[in-house]
Amino acid sequence: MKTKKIVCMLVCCVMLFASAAMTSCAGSAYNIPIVCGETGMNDGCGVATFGVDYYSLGVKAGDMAADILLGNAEPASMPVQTDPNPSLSVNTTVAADIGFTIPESVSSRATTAQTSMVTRVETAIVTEGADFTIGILQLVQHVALDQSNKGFQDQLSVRMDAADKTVQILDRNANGDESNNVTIAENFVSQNVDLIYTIATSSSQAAATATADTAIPVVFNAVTDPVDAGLVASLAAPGGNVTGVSDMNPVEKQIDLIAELLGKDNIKVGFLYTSAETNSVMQINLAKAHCDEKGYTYVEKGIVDMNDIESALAALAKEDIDAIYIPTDNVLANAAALVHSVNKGE
Amino acid sequence: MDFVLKGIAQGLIWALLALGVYLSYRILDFADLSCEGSITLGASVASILLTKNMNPVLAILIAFLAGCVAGTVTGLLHTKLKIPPILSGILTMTALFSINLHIMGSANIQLNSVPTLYTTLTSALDINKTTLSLILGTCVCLLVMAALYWFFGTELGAGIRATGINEKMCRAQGINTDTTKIIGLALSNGLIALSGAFLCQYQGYANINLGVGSIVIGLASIIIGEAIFSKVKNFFLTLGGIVVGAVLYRIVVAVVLYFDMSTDDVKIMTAAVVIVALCISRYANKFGKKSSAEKQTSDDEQKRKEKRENV
Repeated sequence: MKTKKIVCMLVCCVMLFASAAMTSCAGSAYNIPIVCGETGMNDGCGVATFGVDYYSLGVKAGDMAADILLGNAEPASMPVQTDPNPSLSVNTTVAADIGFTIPESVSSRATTAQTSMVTRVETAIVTEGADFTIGILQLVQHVALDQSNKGFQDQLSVRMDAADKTVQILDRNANGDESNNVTIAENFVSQNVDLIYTIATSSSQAAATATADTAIPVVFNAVTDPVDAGLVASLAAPGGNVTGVSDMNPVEKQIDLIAELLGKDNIKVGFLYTSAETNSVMQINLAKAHCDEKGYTYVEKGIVDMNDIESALAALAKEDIDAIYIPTDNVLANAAALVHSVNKGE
Repeated sequence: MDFVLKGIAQGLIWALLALGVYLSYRILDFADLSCEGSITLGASVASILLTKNMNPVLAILIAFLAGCVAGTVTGLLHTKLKIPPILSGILTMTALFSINLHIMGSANIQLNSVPTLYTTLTSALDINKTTLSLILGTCVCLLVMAALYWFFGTELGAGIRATGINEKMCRAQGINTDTTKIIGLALSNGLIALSGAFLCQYQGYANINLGVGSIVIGLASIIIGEAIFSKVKNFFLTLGGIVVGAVLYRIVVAVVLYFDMSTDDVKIMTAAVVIVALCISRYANKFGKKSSAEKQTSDDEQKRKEKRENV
């Protein structure tokens, strides 16, 4: 009986502590300015960022595919492209929520212009008897990836129309299933398509493996580090049948933006990212290298999933940081709104 | 037809997973969800060893052993800590996610620049990858089936089978059911990891999300296999049925993905196929039972007749 009583008391104590901790947490606002790796996340929780635009990246990939199809270029010698002029965007709503004033020097440079959309030429895309057949392999339904797909198709239709050619597009989606990636890529090889356009890293790897014994060119998009992913020998000279567009965001520019936003040089940045995502880890490594170079200090907090966000923010807030940097990260991109509500103490 | 052959080649790799799931789910009657973790474990162990230039065969064997360890953990959680089967599996699977990340060092490892079993053998035997995968897959599956057939005929193997059928009776017979469960689960997860080790080399990369949905593929393969081989009593052929089930499942997925349909409908089509397989299984069993029951009565009558005549 005694042990039972002790256990009961212990449980009560724990519950009291827990409830006390929860009430104290709920009210506290961190109000730390956040800079994100891409515009979509910036809309949810960031104050300002330089962002790549996935539609424009898709357009770039469409141009590369058209050049390959029309025989203007060989994938082996086509350098991997990036977004040359990332646009600066500011988020006044988030800034107002956390009581942060964006300096005039930054907000005045922000572009408000919408992405210039390419008008698709519907007649260039046919369902049979086309001059070229293109297979599109997309990893999963996702706003940014869908934009890369649309931009590609739009630009390709324009280029084909200009060259007086037609194209048939086999648009496939692996629905987030890695095994489907392989099946779709192999189906394309069996169908002997003229070119495969892949969106996201593992889809591109599956297509690269499936086309290894063939001459079918592969144009990838939304791959952050194509060299590390084994897709190309180097960014300048891919050297094989695979080339494409990298969605690498300008990490250095984004880190420098933090210093500019805060108006000081001795900044302390907190890195928040998902440790399971290769792309995020790579961006964080770049950010660290840049911080070391510029003499900025930093602390990092890797999370496993969405449930860790609150505790990770609390841990970062304790470190007395000036700002948080979140790289382009799938988990955090989906949880941008949550990050913001925790940050402003809701 | 080429894409069907490639579907078969992939199916033969998934068949190893299906056999592993069959061991725990059917033979041991243990709903083991660690599958999604152990297939990725097999892939991550094999791929990291391959990037260190290890012999592909050796890498695959080590991946198998790693899977066995994972299965043993699930078994210990269940038998020693008395955690229910489903939760033990989930716990192992959850823990394996972090372990796999540590093994790989990142979420994705590419194998395009290192020699794998497939690249080595295609260049050595001078055949294309599809042919090689078909031959290799068939050989490995037959080997595993033969090994399982032999093992489940031994005293220990029979003990594992008995544990799945009636655990209490088994204990009454003096069998340590904790041991049989642990060994069964180790073997099951070892096979699943083996499947992962082949898969990463086949597709040219290992990914932390490789195992997502694998339990569904395993279970669907078993159901399809049993639906087709419902009347088979021979254990070796039952195992063959599972392999055929896995191959059929991959063919179905390949066909679903081959035809031009809305990309959003892929999952519902795959689900529809499994539902159809379940229906076939149900009706085949109904007819199967009926015919065997009829046969039984006619046999009995025959015997009675003979008896009477003898008297």
